[in-house]
Amino acid sequence: MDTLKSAWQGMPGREKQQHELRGMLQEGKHPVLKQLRRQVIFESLLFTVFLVVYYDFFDGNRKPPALNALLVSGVLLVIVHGILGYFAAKQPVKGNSLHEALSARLKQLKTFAILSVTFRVLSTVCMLLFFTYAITFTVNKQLIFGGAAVILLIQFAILVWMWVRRIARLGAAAKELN
Amino acid sequence: MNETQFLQLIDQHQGIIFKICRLYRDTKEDREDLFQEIVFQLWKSLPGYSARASFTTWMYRVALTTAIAVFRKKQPRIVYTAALPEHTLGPRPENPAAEQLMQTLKQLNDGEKALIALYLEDLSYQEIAEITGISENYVGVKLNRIKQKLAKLWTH
Repeated sequence: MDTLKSAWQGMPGREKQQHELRGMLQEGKHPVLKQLRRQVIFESLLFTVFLVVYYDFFDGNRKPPALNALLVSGVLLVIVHGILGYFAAKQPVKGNSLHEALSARLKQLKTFAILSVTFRVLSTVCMLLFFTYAITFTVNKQLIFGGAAVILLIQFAILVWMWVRRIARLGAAAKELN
Repeated sequence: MNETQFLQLIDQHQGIIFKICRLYRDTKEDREDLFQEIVFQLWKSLPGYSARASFTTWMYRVALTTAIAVFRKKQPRIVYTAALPEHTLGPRPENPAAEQLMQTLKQLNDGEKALIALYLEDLSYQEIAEITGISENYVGVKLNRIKQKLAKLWTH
């Protein structure tokens, strides 16, 4: 163990300059947050444009107001989800110990996972209801719709699996320190 | 504590952050990202720091939580270079003993890594208990198990 300790303590560390460290305090220069922010802005802009044009382009005027409201809600859910994700990512560490902090993160992660999957399912259902309204289902259309449904189900399964894996990993670390 | 005082303390203890990054991330880019994430989290979490606890104790807690809780990138970053590198397996490590130690430690799970890192820093069981939130006796038990595991890994 002494060999390990001396190897650990003698490990060379790259020295960061004061100006580099100062830059790291800024949210604008944070690599992950910067990427998330770009993604949220891009998605929000794209969906805003969609909301502006969908009424004319996708015959919103020929569909019941309730379906229009559902579509708008579905799109808004996607935008809100992105914004919530951004704020969740910059949450500071809370807790008086590593175990408490990891448990708090785990709780937050579980809440966000439920929210994320629910939002994704709801927004997809809203959009599907809007776009499939008044369609006469021929065999071909049924096959296309069936194929799209299978792809969506696979996507949901991957999303759930991804969250379960993240939660399990963090849960294992919190349990190890219990 | 103002920004300048905070940065002085980070500067003084940046070796701790660097070692945690090496322990929890495999690539240079991921370590750089984690380093920045830890410094950012320390700054954001500063209002929760009580001067009653030592700065390093608090720093270990925030840094380890960040290293464990922040997601890793899904895909390795590919860097294209103008010429082929001379070494096919990457450059020779600066400190082979430290490299071998890291390879051994990386085989532990995230919780075990946190405990052994604190032990290797020469912190007392009481300090480790304070940082992790588990009892002093249990720290001893856990560390003994990890040491046994490491002894097996180290000799292989």
